[in-house]
Amino acid sequence: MKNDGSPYWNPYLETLSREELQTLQLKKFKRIFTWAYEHSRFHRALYDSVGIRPEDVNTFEDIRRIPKVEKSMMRSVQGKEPYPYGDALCVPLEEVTEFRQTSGTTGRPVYQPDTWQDWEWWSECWATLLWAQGYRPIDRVFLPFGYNIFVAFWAGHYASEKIGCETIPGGVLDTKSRILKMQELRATAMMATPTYVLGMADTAIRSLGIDPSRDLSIKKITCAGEPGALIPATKKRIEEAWGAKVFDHAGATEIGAWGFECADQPGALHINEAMFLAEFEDPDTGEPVTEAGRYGRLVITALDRIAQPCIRFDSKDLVQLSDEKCSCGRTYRLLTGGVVGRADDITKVKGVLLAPAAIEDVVRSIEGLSDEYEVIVDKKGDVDTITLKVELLEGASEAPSSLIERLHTELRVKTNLGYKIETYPYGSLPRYEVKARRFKDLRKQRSQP
Amino acid sequence: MNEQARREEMLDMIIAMEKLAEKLSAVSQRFPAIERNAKRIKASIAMMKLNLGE
Repeated sequence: MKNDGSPYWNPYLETLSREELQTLQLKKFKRIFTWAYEHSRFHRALYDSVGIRPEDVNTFEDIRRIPKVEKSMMRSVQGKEPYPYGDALCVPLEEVTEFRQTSGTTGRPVYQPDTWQDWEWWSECWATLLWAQGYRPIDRVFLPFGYNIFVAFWAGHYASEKIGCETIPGGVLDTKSRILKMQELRATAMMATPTYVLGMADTAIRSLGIDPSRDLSIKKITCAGEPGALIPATKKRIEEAWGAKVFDHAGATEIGAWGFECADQPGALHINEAMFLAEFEDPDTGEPVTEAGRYGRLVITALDRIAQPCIRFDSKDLVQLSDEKCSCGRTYRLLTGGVVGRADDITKVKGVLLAPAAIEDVVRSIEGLSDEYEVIVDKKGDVDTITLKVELLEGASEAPSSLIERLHTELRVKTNLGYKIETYPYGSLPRYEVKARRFKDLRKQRSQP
Repeated sequence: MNEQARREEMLDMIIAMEKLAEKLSAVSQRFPAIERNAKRIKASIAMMKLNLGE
């Protein structure tokens, strides 16, 4: 097939100059803003409250004056007519063909309606990233996830079909059956959360005597749902366990599939800037962040999503800006290390900013520890404490003092903090199939009424 | 043919398909098997337009 030779799913959009990209983004932003203003009472009221109308939006500076949308605002508007989406819905109910909802990690789930066109757009965004990661029609792609009300890898499924891959839904099978089916069919690629990918490798070896790197044919793994695939130590563990290339992808139910790592693995995510406008704010002051190297909170607009538009959505994702050019030739901006944390999770401990991803990178870089760990932040009197629970490998009963010493040293270097370290036998800490909850800040729980 | 001319030619074809799909949608009222498929084709056409920066 002659198109297989193209390194880009969309050779035009993915290589636009910065100036052309910005012109396109501005045109699209104005269009989606006007659409939302004219079709949604929620959006109109929000923008009227600050006196901004579509004709006022002509520059990126104008865009920065537009109020952001937070998840809590979507929650408050939903559960009403047109049921259950309420006033943020921009199309008649009969145009809605897909329902998904957020996981509800931070509160009541948000419902997400989509039209056929939106769903085409979802799979188009995913096709862009899968193609960039080397998926081609010859691939046989296995999706080991529960096909349900969460968006998860649904659009990955349709994008895989759209590319022309043979697409295998590994829905209600248990982990062992999924591994056996992948082996039987010689699947060449798969998509799952990093936590589940590591768990699958563990199950394959322990319960089935299958070494994924030797006995399976998986050569590409697309990870999403949580950081990990761009945390160096986690990526290394997965790649070694599976003998495959591991790629990260970032997205969210309310936003769409906005970021991806390309096959060149630059240690960063590309933002799909033809479909999304990404803005960055200082996590403390809210001021715009534009300089490479700085961290910013991602505020994002899905430029073409129509049923329930996502305009200047506060993603709460913390990212690090880069001005590096990628060797893949795409002009889409890079974010170093992908999503480095959630604004909710990144917290000050003893006055020092702590990102859970940094702890994961240390734990998984140390041989002699399993993939699982747990971080508990608490307060004793006026002093913050951090307890790190780690697991030994199967069969080990005690941690060598050199291992604990190395853990202390590397954590100190990487996070500038001291930890109380507890070691546990293999299998003691919780296992997760979807999004892991390894970071617990008990100070927040105590402060809630 | 240069790239821009090729894109313009593709866009012309897409717009022609869009008009045809609109027409088909209109004449297929009370014939769901055609009307709903025409509508679905329109969603794909919209995506092709977006892919050319429209």
